[in-house]
Amino acid sequence: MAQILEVFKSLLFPAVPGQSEDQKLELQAVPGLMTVLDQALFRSNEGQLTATICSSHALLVCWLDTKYQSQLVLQSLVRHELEPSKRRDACEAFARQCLESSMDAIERLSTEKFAQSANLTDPYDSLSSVGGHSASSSVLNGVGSQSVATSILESKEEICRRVPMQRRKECWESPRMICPDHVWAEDSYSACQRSIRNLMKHPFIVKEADVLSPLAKDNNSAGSGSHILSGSTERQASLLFQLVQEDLPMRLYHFNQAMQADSVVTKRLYLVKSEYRAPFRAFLEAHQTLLKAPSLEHVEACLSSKSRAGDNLGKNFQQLLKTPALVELLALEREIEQLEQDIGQAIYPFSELARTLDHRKARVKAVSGVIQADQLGYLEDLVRVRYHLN
Amino acid sequence: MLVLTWYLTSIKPRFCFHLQRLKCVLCRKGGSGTSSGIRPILLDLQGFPRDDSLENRTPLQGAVDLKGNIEDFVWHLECLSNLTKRKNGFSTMKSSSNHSQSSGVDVNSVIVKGCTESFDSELLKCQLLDWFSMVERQHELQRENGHLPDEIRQAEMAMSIAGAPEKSLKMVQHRLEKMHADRQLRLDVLKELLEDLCLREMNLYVNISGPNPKQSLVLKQTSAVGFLGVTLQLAGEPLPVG
Repeated sequence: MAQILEVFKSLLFPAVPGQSEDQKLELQAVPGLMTVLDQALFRSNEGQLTATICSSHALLVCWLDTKYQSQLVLQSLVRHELEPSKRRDACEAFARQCLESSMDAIERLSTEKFAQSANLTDPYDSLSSVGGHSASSSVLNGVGSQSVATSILESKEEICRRVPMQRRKECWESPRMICPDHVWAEDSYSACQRSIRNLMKHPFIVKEADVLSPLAKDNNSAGSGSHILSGSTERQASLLFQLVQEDLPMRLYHFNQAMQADSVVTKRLYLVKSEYRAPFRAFLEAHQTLLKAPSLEHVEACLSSKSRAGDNLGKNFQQLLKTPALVELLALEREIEQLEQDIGQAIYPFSELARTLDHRKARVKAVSGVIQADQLGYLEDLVRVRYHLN
Repeated sequence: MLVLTWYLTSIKPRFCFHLQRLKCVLCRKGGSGTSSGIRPILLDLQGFPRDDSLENRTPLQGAVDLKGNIEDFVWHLECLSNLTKRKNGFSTMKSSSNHSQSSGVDVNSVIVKGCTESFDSELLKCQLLDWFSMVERQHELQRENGHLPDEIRQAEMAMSIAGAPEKSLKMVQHRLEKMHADRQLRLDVLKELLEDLCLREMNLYVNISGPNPKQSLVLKQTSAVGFLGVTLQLAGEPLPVG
């Protein structure tokens, strides 16, 4: 009878792997295991992290709104603000700083700090990235006409993207933030606090607080405080101002309160995550070392056999080196390298010209029959030249 | 305030876009937006939006018309070349309250020569097109022959082992055995610790097994997006690899 009941029970409620000792969850010690364990750890402690989860979501949404609003302000400046002015430049600089800060904050909130130390074997980790933001205001110097070729060869490993793409090969742990912990919360909080503090000190905020604050409360009115920026730009700027001055600090405050309330849990989670990461990385290091070493079977076979067939192995190796695909790949690489050098030589005088014009603080100005007024804003933004504010 | 004015025969919105990009290439690193090579230009031609601030309106965003982009780029270089040839093609304008005064800007003769006499627009166009087609062919070959580097490495090791004296081979064998034992020991420690920890912290019974000793370490794709992942996906933000 008991057996029949057990059978019925197993039919109605099939056993889930991992819930009993008889049916264990089968896991393999490969990259991706940390994701599974972090996910399981998060699910087990989710109920105790309600405050942290809610407040971090709210903070992230606020930063996403800030990023989006900064982009709107920049677009509005390009479309509607055609006449150059100090206020326009200050607004643009502020919007760019907001955008930069929001992208950094979003990256910090959504990235697992643990993974940064796990994926050191990724060759792209140590290489420089060339982002899309404007170059520093300092004068740029060319590499010199004689050094174009070497500079191009040296720049071969550049990423040229703001956030380099991680490769899956040799990536042991995913950088996604699966389970929050105390170190992540503290790091995110301090970074966000620093960003907000810097934004609040921006000259645009300091000078325009009186102008933008009334408009922030009444978005329907046309811009009347300052007559240099258009109404549309004023509205967008006031929304951005409100986000930076009111919404972000409030969300950050809530996040801090939640972080402190859940600190006992998050600190324990950090310790648990460290506890299972250490032996996992140690094992993968041993596995990696073995992968790079020659096969034990082959060595034993060489020791046991009298003739080692060295000639055959040598021929096999030479044949592999002469594989048509490999030969073509190497030939293509040489030609591509030469082409890059030739293209670099052709472009170099123009890059020097662009740097010369930039050094002279170039400004596109409307000239009748040459540059139309409606093209100015777009051109100015694209050129993105700077002049010193007096 | 000094204002530099360009007199241009014709203007396209992308002109200054290319100019802004040009100043950041082939230069000694001065900031995060500079490059010592020409890679940023090549990425621009492929339509990669490097500028996150204006990604919704980057002229080349989503543009897959590579030939069009290259022609556009070379056309703007020709514009610059024509300007450089003209006398007072670049001038400064000093503005005051009542009137403005312009004066020509002298560009270095080496730059002028490089932009005019040494510049061949058709050749540059062909070089850029050839570069992209060769890179595409390279990627195709790499996809088809991804196993080749490993095969060559194994063959090279086999050849060196075959040529090694017996004494060295015995040392290598001893070291390999130690490495295998070390790996197995670490796996045992990992297994014991994880099984205990999963039961303690997550109420899960797990059985950990090791991968094949010859299995390469590649991060598998999972459906776990993270506890903030859904919010990021809804906002259209890219997620880290995982």
